Amino acid sequence: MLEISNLSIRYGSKEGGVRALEGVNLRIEDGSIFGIVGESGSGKSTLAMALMRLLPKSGSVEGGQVLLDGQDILSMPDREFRKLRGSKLSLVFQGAMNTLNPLMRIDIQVAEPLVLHGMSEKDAALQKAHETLELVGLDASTWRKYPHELSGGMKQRTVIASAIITQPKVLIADEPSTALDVITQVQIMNLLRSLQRRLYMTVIFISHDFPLVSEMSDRIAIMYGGKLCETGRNDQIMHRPMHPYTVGLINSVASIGNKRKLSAIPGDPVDMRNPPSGCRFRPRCSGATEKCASYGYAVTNVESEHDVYCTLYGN
Amino acid sequence: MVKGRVIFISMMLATIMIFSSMAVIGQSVMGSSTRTATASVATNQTVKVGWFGTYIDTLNPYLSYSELTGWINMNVYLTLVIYNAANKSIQPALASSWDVNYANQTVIFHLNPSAVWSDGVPVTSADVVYSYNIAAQNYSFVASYVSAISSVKALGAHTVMFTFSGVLWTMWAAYIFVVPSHVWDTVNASTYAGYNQTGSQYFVGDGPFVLTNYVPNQYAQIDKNPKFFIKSEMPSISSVIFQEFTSQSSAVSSLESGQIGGLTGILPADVASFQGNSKFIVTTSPSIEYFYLSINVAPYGHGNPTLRNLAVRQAIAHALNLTYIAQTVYHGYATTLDSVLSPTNSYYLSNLTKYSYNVPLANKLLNDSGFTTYANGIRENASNTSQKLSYTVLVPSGDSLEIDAANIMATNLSAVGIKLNVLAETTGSMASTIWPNLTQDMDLWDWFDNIQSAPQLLSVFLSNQVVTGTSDSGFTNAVYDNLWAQLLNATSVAQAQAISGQMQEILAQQLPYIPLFSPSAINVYSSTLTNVSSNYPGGPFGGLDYMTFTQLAIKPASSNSSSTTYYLIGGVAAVIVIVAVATVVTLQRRKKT
Amino acid sequence: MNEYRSYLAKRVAFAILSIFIIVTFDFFLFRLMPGNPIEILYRSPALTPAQVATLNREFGLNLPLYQQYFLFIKNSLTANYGISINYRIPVSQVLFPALVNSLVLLVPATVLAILLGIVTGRIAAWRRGTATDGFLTGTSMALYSIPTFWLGEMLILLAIASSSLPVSGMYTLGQTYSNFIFQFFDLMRHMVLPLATLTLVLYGQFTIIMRNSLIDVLDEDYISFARSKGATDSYIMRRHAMPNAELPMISLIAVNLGLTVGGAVLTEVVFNWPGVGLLIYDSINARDYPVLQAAFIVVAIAIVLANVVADVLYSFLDPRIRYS
Repeated sequence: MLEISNLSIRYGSKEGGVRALEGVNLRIEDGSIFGIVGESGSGKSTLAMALMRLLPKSGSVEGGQVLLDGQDILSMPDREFRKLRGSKLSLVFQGAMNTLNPLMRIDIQVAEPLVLHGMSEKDAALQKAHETLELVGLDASTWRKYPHELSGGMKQRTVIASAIITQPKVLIADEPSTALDVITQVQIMNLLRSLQRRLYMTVIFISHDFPLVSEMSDRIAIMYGGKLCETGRNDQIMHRPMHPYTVGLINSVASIGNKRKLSAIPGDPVDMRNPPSGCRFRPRCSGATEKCASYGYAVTNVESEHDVYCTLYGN
Repeated sequence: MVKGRVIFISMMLATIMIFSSMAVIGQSVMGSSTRTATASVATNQTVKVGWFGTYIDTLNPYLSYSELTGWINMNVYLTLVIYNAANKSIQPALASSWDVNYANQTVIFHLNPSAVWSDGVPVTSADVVYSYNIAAQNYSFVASYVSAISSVKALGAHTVMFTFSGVLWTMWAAYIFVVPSHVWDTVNASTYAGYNQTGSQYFVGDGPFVLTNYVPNQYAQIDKNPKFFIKSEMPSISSVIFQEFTSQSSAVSSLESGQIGGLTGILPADVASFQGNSKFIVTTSPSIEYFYLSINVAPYGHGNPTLRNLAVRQAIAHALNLTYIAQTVYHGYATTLDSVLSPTNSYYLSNLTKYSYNVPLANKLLNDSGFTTYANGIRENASNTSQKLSYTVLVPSGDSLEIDAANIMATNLSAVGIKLNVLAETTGSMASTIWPNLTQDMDLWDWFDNIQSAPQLLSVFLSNQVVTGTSDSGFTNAVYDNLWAQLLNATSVAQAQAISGQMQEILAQQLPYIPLFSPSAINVYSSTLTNVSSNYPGGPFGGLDYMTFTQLAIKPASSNSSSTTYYLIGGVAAVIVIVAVATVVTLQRRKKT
Repeated sequence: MNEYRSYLAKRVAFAILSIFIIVTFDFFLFRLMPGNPIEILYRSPALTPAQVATLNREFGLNLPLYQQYFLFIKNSLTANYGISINYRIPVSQVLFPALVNSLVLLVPATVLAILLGIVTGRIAAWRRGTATDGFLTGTSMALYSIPTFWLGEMLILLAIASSSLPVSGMYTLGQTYSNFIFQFFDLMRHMVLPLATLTLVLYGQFTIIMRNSLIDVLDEDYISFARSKGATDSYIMRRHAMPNAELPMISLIAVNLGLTVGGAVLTEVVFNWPGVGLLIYDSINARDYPVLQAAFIVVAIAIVLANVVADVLYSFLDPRIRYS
């Protein structure tokens, strides 16, 4: 189980920096698919990087902790965490265009996590890599190719293969199909689902694509401006959205067969260097009141497993 | 990929080793082609001399322009007689005595009966006849020296008779080397006209030394000739190595570091660094080189026509402060001169028309000639203002001191309203500007008065030299031409001296050249060398003194640091390089945090 | 594989065409220069018109231009570069020994400069923005900007003051060696100063290229991806960063190695090293056309070949460009 408590991440210095994440609390159960939805700048990618401890030099953990099966993974020494990174905890990047080293064969790159985590037998590692590539739907003709010889979808499958080859406990997929066309997108999503079932992984699925997340996930968290808006089960979020932002998101998505008029959320995304006081969604919220300007992001539990962060529901 | 990098680095290291070995092997292979079996190892009885003038272009004395070749030849071959420029006298060499008959126009040389070549074969009159024959061929560069000889005949094994016209027999007798016909005859005659100039025929001679090694572009080595027949002049050192340098600074550094023992051509500004140092001795000697200002006086020439006005040339001569320039630019290491012959030439005259530094006189001359109006400080002809006294002087770009001198001269001349633009060019560009159309105004150049026993340089001013590209002034004077013809046919030395005096006076009055300075030859040598004379023109290492190496002695060194220590240094250096490279390679591969 | 072969064939054909154009250009270039070598020889009072005509005939300088041109092409192909006007011996006898001497000095210097540049560039990129980076980059640029002859002269002064090393030439003159090792050590001794000079003034360009290339590479996604798999910093450097960063260096390395054939004039003059640079310098002063033509052709051919090698090597190392 992955427990994120009160996690805050800052980029840059204390004076001029940006609070990319603030007070994030999440509980992710083993074997579930947890979706995180948000626009650009919402902090979702920062969360992924923070979990993997791959923040850039300017990023620092300001507060909070992350417990993976009881182990505090943020305060662990580097050497120890490296044993987990890529073996117990894996990341599927977004934008597979440049994610693969152009000078290395893909089967070698897929085999790398094994080699890095102790398997010294090159042939055995390669063998496993070939099997994993087969698993993600790439046949033997592609194994010895170089990245530039593959299509976008094939490259993404390769990235997925290298993320699952060590049979990780937690797989973080950050916009895994955003850069791909719709048809390939579906294929990748199906692949992820089947892999998750077969390997019993915990998948954290991060995307700005709300319908996609809602199709895949058991539980969903909505983020805006570095803070949580709402967390809950899939059916709860989809049928009984509480936070105005969530409602806006649902209303702005088209669906086939539904001739309802689309409505956009008014306003601009939040400027993270100069966020509004109190609730960050306040400038764009149709139901904003004076209370929202001094809102301290206290959480309201509206029903079992369903939390909202909004003044409309209590404080 | 890692394997690729290792391969790359190993290849690089291997390349270093291979190339170094190539050089080493190649050197021994190439060295052996010019090395004879008798070459000695350089010991502490070897003198190393630096040279940064013209390189050895060929070892053939009849085809060479290089002063270094001339100097080497002086040590390995003998001429019939030798002109000693220090005391202006003719001395015996290959010929022990001679009879000159001006009336019959013959001279008979009696060769030294003990004269012998370094391979043991005696020197005979056949060698003399052979040598003068080659010298007279149309491909030989010394053909004009022997043009006065109408016939050479061997009267006996050691007697040769020359029939010549003119009194200047010393011009060839002291400058044509006698070569071994029994060796040269075996080589195809076309090789002399052709270009095999480093062949084995040059390694046999009759001088105090014999040539033993020559690597083109690098050095030549001569060793003592044990068979040298003038025993009183047997050298005490065992060999001389002449190392060729391209840059003067490299030669001076080598002198300072002890790699060479003697060097000429030290710049006046560098003297100070040697004078305080007990490891070196500085000497000053007269020089056969002099610099002059040549003025384009050719009637059809394309330079500024105002220069054809004698008064203008006289004014220029009076406006130049040559003693000041000699002091400033040459730090006092230069003398002024009045003739187109060098002061050590036996025909040099000093009581010629002189031009003292006199600015008012210069101005007066120009005013009287009608150059009275000024435009921008430059005089013009008042009746024809297109005639301006504005000139360009060409100076060789490699002669930095002379460029400085020219700039000071420009300042001198601007004081009398003459503009002088100094243009430094390579000698090749200068030559193409001057010949054949004489498009220059003036040029500042030098002559080496190589034939010290005859007034050869006077021939530069003959009318027929204007087209051949020797005369840069374009001087044509029928009286002068006539005098030269008389000189060649003079019947006594006294008569020849008188005629040459008249010719020098004509030049002094007509001023196609303004003779400027003769820079002293500054030589520096290691204080381990003794018995080094400095009164010969050019100094001991200037390339003219034929006695330098026969007189020279080397003080025994107190400690003979053997070459093995130097090899150790070389070995250590190599090891350091290899270790450094290996460290770099290892650091690349080792895991670092 | 067939495509690769045709790529190779195209490169080689293009190289041959380049060489031909260079040879033609070389021929015309020297005819257009001011200053005629024969003019210099005219200055001696001893030269008669007949001798001048002989020289003209020997060097073909009075033939019509197009005849000279075809003669030139034929001679270039048969490695007959004529007779040196200055040395009066065949040009190849003057040029090729000088070439070997230059290579002996320049190849090690270039290789050392490359290695030094790679190491300093890599450290500077890894510690980008720190004092180490500033120091390494700064000194490499400073040394690169220093005039070669000045650095050489400074080293000479040091050597003279400490009486430790010879300051000119390749070997101790007039020396015979009892064995190969001693000759090699003597060569090493003479090589120390010019080698140091050359390496120090050359390595800066490699430092900068390596540093910038590595900085670009370290920002690439595949570096983060490798890190996300649990790789250590040194592993990333070794297997992901350096191989990619070194690719731009290949062209630079190849061109530099090609240029070694041209000698290093400044260094060779300062240290009187009898190489091609010194030969070219002397030949320019003496207007020795045949030597200059031959030298320029040799250098040009070397550079063309170096470029071909660079292309081939590049396509071998970078799979992306193999099929263009």
